[in-house]
Amino acid sequence: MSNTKNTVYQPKNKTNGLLFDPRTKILLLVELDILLFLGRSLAYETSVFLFCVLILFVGGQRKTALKCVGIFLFFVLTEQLIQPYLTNSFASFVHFIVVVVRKVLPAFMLAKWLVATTEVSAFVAAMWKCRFPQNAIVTTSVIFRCFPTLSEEWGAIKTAMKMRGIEFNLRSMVTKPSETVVRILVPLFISALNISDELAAAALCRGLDNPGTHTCMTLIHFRWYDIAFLLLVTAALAVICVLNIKGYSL
Amino acid sequence: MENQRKKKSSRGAIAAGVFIALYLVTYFIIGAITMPVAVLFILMPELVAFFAAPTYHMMLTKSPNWISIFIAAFLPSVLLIASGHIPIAPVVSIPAGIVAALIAKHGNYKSFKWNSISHMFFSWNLFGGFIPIWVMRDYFFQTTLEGGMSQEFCDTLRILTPWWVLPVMMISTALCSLLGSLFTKKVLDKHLTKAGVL
Amino acid sequence: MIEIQNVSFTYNQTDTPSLSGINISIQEGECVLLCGKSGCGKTTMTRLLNGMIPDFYDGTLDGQIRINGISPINCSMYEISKIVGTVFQNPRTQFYTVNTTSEIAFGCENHGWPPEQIYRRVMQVAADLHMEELLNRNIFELSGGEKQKVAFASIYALNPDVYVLDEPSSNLDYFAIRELQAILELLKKQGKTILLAEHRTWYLEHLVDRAFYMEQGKIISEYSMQELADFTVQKRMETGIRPVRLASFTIPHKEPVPSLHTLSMQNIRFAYQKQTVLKINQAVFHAGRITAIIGKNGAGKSTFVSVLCGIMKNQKGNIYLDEAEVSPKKRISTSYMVMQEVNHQLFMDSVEEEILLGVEEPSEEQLNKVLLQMDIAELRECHPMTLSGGQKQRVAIGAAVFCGKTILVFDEPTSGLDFSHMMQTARLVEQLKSPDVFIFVITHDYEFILSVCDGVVEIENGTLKNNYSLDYAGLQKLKKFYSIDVDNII
Repeated sequence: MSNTKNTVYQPKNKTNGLLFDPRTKILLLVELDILLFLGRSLAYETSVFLFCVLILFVGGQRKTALKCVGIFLFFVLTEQLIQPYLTNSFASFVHFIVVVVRKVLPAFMLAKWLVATTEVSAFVAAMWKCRFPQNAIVTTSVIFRCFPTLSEEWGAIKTAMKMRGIEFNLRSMVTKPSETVVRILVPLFISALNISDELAAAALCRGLDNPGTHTCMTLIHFRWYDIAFLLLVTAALAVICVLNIKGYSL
Repeated sequence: MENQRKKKSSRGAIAAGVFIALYLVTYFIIGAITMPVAVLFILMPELVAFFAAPTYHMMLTKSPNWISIFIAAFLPSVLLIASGHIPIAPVVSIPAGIVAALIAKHGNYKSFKWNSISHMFFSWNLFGGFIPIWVMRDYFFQTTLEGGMSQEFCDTLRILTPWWVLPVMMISTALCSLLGSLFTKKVLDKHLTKAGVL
Repeated sequence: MIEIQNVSFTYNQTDTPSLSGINISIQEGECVLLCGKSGCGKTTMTRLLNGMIPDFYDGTLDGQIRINGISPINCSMYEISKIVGTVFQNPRTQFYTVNTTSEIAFGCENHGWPPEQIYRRVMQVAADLHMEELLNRNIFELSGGEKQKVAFASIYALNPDVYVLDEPSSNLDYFAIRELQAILELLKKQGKTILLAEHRTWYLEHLVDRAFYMEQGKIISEYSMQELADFTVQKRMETGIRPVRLASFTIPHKEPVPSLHTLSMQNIRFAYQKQTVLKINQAVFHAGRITAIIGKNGAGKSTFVSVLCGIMKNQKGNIYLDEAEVSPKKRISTSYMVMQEVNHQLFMDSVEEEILLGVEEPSEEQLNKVLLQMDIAELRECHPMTLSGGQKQRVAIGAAVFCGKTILVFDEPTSGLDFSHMMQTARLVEQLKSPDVFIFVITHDYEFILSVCDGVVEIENGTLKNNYSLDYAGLQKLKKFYSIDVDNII
């Protein structure tokens, strides 16, 4: 820890690889997702897919990248092999699945990469940098922080219900829906309100309502590779859009 | 004073966060139960609209502003993208969020009537994940037909989701949302008032 | 440092003032304790200092408050947070982020410090409080004591002059309280002014300079810790102040009721997410006794009790009631657990309905008896959620009494209770002793165990480490667990 004492806090790189700015990652995800659906030939699909694999590779998820290449190859092979049997409805079904899943694989891959390699603090820092309204940032940070707490509360309420003999299953929902729903919602809402109050008290006592500037310990900025990738993908998107409009089939 | 407003809005922002988290939990639990089964799939928006109504009204009570509504509408579609779905959901959820916010603002975020109408339009943000079935269907079916799928299979799939199902779903979702709002006002609020919460 | 002159405050929702005519002057570097029964106004006092009154809680305030020359009533909570830091009771809901490092930085970020300065400060805080290994961790994976430490670190980072603590030890086990003690010693050395509202006094003996006893919103008297230590048991019942020296605390308690009914566990294994979390080879319990379940936070006490009651199904092993095996489903129907967080288990609209819930063919006479016994008869029609914490707890215990189940479990029934209410709860639980009933209490409360428990079960890492009766030898074992030495002063 001592050798980093005088450096600034960077978002921790969870895996080895290039550290992309979170804004870059989001933009890449959206642009590549759109690109995926602008062309239909296998060649086009494969090239977009390979580009995504490249991103994962340099972005620190080598193993996942290789796994996805394997899955992709497997699906393509299955599709080719099953061609002669398409009159069989089962084979048809399998073919459908294989094609559909293969098409969304790159989007899925990129999304997983985004979530796995980005820290929450990096997302929050990105929101501050993009000058989102403060209340929006507060609400969004609280949402994710609350999930585990709310599920703990829910678990405790469920246990208490078991103990007191209150049922919460399909039968009770059908026979006495109003009562069942009320029994769950009242303690749940009260828990939620208590959590909200306590959270707010602790946050306000640490200066949340400062009308001046808030800073972020986590620093993020665009590096050369952020810009390089973004330019490349945006240019490709523009070209493909134009081609589509002009009527070329890809 | 300026700071009073700011502090009260911070508190509201946190309350909004907690209730939106509750809304998302409701959304995902119902989604997880209904998505796998084809028939229930159609029921998903209706169920969410009904069960999310109390949370929506409570959120507006504690945090009466457009930011909460917008985030509540927009965030699920972002999460869909982040889990690998097609990024078309925001195209539906952003307008739905804006319209819902404008309607609620009409009643200054405090009128039950306007908030309920707002919730109706808000619930349509759920259709973001469903749109591909109709909008992209041609794309899917054409590729699969090109790939040589049996005409029979394509036809069966098409029958399950004819064009008129979409407006029907939209109307029934709006109805369920109203039912949810009514339930909140007539049943739930009574209990919550007695509990000293409202 | 802190001047409070003639302050009175009444919350908007109530008619009686929560504080009347308070006059206190606290010097810089002093550590002051506010003690008294629940509802005496200690927490309201803390809210005066950190700005929650008037910003968070509406009410009418009279009088003057000055902290270092500034009046907090006219400042925003943000400005006050520069000089006053608050650590709350509940570790679970105090933290704003998910990562410990971000949490420590939170206050500094709000105040707009430059990023490099924030990072340096975070590292400094970790070094000062000896918590380097707690950095960059997921807060949800920490124990209660570790969470509280992170909460402290977050305030420490802002370096306020005044620390306000509202029952910081409530949710902590003994070991975490010792760490809290160490942090407070550090703060004292740094010359910080500390104001504590607390029930537990044993860890404060050498930290507190003055103690103010409050009753119904007024300061009745001022004591030194030595004077508090010399209180008789009767005086403790009057004032609600807990014993300062646990080593010399004794209290007589009733013998267990003789009974032939036994509850035994054989070869119990319970796994959660592929890890064996509970492993009990053999254990036998008798009815007519109150058994305390002790252990560090996270040792597996709740798991043990949940498996016992059938809420969680054990994968291996059997539980026998009088030599007959009972399935988890049967155990749920014959057991009742009063949970630590009372709000999770109140479902009905009135106290009466709450107590009657789940009981078929209730007797009106029995109901009246229970309501009187629990001292909640006049609250019959009230909604349980509108009651105070202590009243809610009595309702929950009332429901336990009324349902007449065989296995009764209480999870931390006395955390956050003053001495007199703790004794009251102890007596209530004692009244439940009967030859047909097994009573278990998960607790950290040494005084409670001494006053009412007959046996002790110690759980460590999911195994039963010790199971003994609370006779003289057992008492020594208990003292050893809590590191209470008769010769040493804690």
